Amino acid sequence: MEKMATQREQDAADYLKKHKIPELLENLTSMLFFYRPEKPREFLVEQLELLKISQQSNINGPSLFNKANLDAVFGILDPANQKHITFAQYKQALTTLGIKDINECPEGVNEDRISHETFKTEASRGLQRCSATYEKL
Amino acid sequence: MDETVKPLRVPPHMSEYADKHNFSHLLQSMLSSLLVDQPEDPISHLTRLLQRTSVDVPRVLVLGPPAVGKHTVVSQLILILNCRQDDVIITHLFFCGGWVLEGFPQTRLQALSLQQAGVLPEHVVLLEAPDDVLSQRDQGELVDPLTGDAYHETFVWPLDDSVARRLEGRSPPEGQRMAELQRHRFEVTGLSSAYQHVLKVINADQPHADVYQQVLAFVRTRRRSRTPRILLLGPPGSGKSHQARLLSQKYKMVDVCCDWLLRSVAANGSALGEEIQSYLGDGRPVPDSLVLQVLGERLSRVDCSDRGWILHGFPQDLQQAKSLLESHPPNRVFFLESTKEVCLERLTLRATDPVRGERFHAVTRPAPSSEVQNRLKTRPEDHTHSVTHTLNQHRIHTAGLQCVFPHAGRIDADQDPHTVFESLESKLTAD
Repeated sequence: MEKMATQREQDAADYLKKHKIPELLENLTSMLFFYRPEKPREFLVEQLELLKISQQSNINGPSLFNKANLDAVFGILDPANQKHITFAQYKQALTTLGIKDINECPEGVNEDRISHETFKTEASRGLQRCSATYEKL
Repeated sequence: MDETVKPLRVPPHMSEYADKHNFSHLLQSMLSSLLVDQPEDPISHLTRLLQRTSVDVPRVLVLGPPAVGKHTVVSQLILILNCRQDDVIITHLFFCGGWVLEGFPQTRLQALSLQQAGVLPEHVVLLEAPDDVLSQRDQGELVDPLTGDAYHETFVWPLDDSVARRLEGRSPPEGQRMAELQRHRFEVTGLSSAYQHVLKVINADQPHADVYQQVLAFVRTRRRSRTPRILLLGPPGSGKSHQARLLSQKYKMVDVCCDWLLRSVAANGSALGEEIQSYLGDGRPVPDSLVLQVLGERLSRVDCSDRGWILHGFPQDLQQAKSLLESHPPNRVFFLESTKEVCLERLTLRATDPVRGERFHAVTRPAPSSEVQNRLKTRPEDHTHSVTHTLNQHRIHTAGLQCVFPHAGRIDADQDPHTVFESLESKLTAD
């Protein structure tokens, strides 16, 4: 009996990991708290349908951050408008945005000058990974 | 970007939104549905789940000894809840309109196997009646051969005469009934413990209409879990700080004592702190705007949003209460009602030992030796005339506070602390 229970627990844990369920629920919850729609169930259904389309056709899934937000973040990190930031700043910013598996060697890392464009590209890719909470078809 | 410089604040309207739409329950149902069914396409599964009119599907078990009236209750429940009755276990019951199982499982082992198969009831009704009632019911039991409905020659007579005419007596041998009954009594403890968190025992020794009403009322209750935002109101000496401390220790919420909070802000050296200190030092009451500012800041912090909070010592009048409702509305409010005499006794007999800093009370926690007794000092606020003054002040404002919180729970705070704590707890978990 005990072995069966552990096996089922293991199966359940594997299922969660394979389909990225914790990340999916976390994203959905964040959306709900941010937009606070009057009809949460309909809103969730919309988001799930967008996600489904994203899974099937490789378009970007729903995310709380857009390009304008990324520009704004870069602006905060680079108030003197030098058009680049340090690697430490880049890493800290991406972590704050909630991105995991950050690219440790982006363009410009050797000179410790990450440009605005590189930052935006890496951030967009990272955000896309965060919102792709499904198994790759 | 730096967390120490700008600490994270969670606006209170997020928790309110979560409460209003009962989020934790929604997300829990979504997750448990995914884990039990493990569909290959979780996104579509969730979409279908959310599109149903309610995530709450009736999942009821009706258990009890033979002849207690399970079948009668179940047939009525099915009509009301509009779901299926199943005598046989089928997997993948989650997408239908709900289910009611009668008389199964009968042992703890069966209950555990059901759980492993993913059949998890939301409500388990255990009908109980004393043995002599059961044998009386058993003897008069009649069955309609066409529909299988159960009737009784004395208690449950069919409305339709044509049904009455075709009823047959059903009398299995005496020994079999006794054996079934004994088996039930043997297994019932194990079964009850298997389902203890969703179980309700209903006395079936009453008219079947009453039994049915109780069962229906129970089946309609929903488990809700919310982050606590509790407000304790009451005269000084009613035990608010004590109860708040007990509750926060047990349930891990943040204990926010307004007085203590003001003093700690006054001591932290900020500009706001100095302003507050000027009032405290002079003995004047701190103005509402400052208090609200301090409270607002404290209650928005992440630990309060995460674990919930229990507030006492504020508000003290109608105006303060209204301001609190605007910025950080509580979701549970309790009035700790206490008579003047009890409060006086609790407060005026308090004393502190200036050498060791220990606090004593003449009745509940007397000083250990006469040496300590002799050097005990009482605070000026605890002298009879100042206590009487504060009690009178509080009485003036109570009516106003009760208007602002008409649905608050009332607790008799004259009893000993343990009893008060238990009544608070039962009211907290009852909703």
